[in-house]
Amino acid sequence: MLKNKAWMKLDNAAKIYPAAKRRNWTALFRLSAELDEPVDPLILEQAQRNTVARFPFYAQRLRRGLFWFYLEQLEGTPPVQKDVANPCVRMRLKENGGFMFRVRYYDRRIAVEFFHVLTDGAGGLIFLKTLVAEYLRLKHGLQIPPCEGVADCADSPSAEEAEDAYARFARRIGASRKEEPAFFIRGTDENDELVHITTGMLSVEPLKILCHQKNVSLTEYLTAVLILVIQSIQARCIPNQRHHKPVKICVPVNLRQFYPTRTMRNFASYVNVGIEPKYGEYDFDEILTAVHHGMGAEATEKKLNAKISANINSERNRLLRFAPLFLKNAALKLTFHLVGDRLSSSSISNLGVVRLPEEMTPYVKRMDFVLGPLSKTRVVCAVLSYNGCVNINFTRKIRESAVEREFFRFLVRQGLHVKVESNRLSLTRPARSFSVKEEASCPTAFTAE
Amino acid sequence: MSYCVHCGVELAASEKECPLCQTEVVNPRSPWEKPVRTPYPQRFEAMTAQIDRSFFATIVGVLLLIPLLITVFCDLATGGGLSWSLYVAGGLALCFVWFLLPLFFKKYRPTAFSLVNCTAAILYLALINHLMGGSWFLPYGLPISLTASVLIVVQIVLIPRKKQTGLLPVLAWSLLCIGLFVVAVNLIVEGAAGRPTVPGWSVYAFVPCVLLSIVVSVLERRKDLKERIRRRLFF
Ligand SMILES: [Zn+2]
Repeated sequence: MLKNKAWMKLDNAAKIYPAAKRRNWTALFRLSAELDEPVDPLILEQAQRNTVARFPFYAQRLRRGLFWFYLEQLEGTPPVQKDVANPCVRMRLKENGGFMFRVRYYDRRIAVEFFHVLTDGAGGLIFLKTLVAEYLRLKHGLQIPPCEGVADCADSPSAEEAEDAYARFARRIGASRKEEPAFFIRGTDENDELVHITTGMLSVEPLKILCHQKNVSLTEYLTAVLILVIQSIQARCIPNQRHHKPVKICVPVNLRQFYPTRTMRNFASYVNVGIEPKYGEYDFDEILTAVHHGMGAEATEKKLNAKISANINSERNRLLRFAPLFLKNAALKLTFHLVGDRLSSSSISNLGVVRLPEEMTPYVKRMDFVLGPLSKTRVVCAVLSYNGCVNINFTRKIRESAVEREFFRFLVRQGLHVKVESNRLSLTRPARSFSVKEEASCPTAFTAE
Repeated sequence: MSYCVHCGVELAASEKECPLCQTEVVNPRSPWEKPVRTPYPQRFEAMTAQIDRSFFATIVGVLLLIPLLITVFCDLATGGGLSWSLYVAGGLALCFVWFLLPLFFKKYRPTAFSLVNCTAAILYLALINHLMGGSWFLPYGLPISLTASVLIVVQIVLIPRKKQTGLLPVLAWSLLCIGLFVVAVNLIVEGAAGRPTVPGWSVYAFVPCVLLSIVVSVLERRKDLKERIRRRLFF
C-alpha cells in the first residue's frame, strides 16, 4: 500500500532530463492506440482520472531542491487535449499544469506523451493499456481482467511500482562510459516546431521468417538495416574513407527482463552497437553479425549493471552530491552538450510485441510508438508490433528523408510489403515546400561532424 | 491503393506524394483526393519563442529609457545644456545595440551583428573624443578599433566552419589574432608618434601567442593527446 508520499527523488536515468531540457525541446516519447470508432473526450477524461488515481506516481510536478530536482505529488489530472500534427515537439510544464504527461485524442486515436523523467517506454505502455482498458470499460461496460500489463483501476497503487529500481539493483563497480563519437547525420534543419513522422507498416510473419533465416532477433535485424543505410550515407558525404567515423546505433534495453521488479518508472539502459566503416565497407551480413554479437556481448545483465552502477556511483559522489543544484545543472548541461547523443548516429527503440487481453483486441485496431526528437540526433526510430503488424516510426528533424527512404527500400528489396504513412499532409504551410530533386542533391545534403 | 514507382512501398490514402522520395502519386484510374480521415490533424503546436524574445527586448529597451531620461533631465536642470549626459546616452545606445538588437531578429547572424557592434563601438569612441575635445581618435582610436573589428569579424566568419571540430581550432585562431592585434597596436602607436614603424615591444607578446597557437593546432591534430587531456579534465 502506497502511503501518500508528498515527494520522491528522481530515478537515476531521469536526472539528466531536467538539466538537458531546453525551452523548445523536452525529451518526450509517445504511445498511441487506435480504436474502432471515434474517441469520446468526456469518457476519455474520466478514464484518465481513474488511471491516474491508480498510478499516482505519474501525477508529479518537477521541483527544484537545493541539491537535486525532486518530484512532488500533484492533485487532479491534466486536461485531455486534441492531438496535433507535430507530436512530441515540446512540453512546457507550466502550460500543462505541472504535469509531465499528456493524453491526446484525434479521431479514433488515444495517445499519451510522456516526459522521460517520469518513465520509459515499458512504463508508459502499461499506462496506455490501462487507460484504454478503462476507456473501453466506461464506454462499453467491458469486463477486462488485469493481465497482459493492464492494471485494474479499482486496485490501490503499490509502492513497488514507484520504486527506483536502479538504486535497488546497482552493484558496487561501474564500467567506464567512454566511447568514440559516432558519425552524425546532418541535413537541413527544420524549425524547432516542425517534425516529420514517417510510419512504415509491415506484417510480422514475413519479417520474422527473414530474421529466422539469419538467426537474429527482429531488433537486431532492423538495427543492422539502419546501420547499413547510415553507412552508405556516410560514404556518400565523406569520400575519404580515412575520415569515416563509426556508425553506431543506440538500442535501449529494458532492464525489467533481468531483475524482479514491478517498477513503472524508468528502468532501461542502452547499448551502442555499430561498425567501423573506415576499415572498409561492410555488407549486410557482416553488419548483421556485428550487431548480433555486439548485442550478445553488451546487452547482458553484467555489462548493463556495470553501466547503471557507474551512473549510480557518480550520483553518489560526495563532491557532486553536495554541489548546489545550479552548479550541478550547469555541469550536467555541459556534459550533455559535449557527450549527449553524440555516441550514436541514431537510435532504434523496440518495445516488442504488445499483447492486450482478449476482451480488448476487437476494439483496438492499431498501436504505435513514436520517439520525440532527440537533442542532437536528427533521425530516430521507434518500433512496436501489435496484431501481427510491425509499425516502424521514424522521427526526423531534418528535411532530407534519405534514412527512411533507404531503410524501407531495403526492406522492399527483401521481398517485404511495406505500407507508408506520414504527417506530411498535415504540415501544409506555404513555406514548407519540399524539394523534388532532393534525391539528386543528396550527397551535399549531409556533412560529417 | 497506390505504390511509389521509385520505392516500391504502398502509400497510405493520406499520401499525395511518396513521403520517402517525394514522387507524386499518379494513378490514372483514381486521381488523388484528400481522404476524409487523415493520420494526423491539421492542428499545429506552435512555438512562441521569437515573439517572447522581441517582447523581452522591447521591455528592456523601454526600461533603459528611464535612466536615460533622468540623466538628460538632471543635466539640463543643472548645466543649462546637454553635456555629460551624452556619455550616458551613448553608453545606453551601445548597450541596446550590443545586447538587445539581436533579440529582435529571428535568426542569429553572427557576422552581421558583429559588424554592427563594432561600428557602434567606434561611433561611441568618436563621440567621447568629440565631447572631450580630444585629438586621440583619428591617430590612435580609429585605427586600433578598426584593426580589432577586422580581426573580430574574421574570427567570427571562421568560427561557424570551425564549430564542428570543437574548441581547439577556435582557440588557435584567437591566439593568432591576439598576437596580430598586439603588433598592429604597436605599429599604430609608433606611426602616430612619428617614429619609424617597426614592431618593438609587441614582439614579446606576438611570439608566445603564435607559439601557443601552433601548440594548440598540433594538439588538435594529435587526437590521442587531445583525448587524454579531455579525460584528465573531465568532471
Ligand atoms: Zn517513393
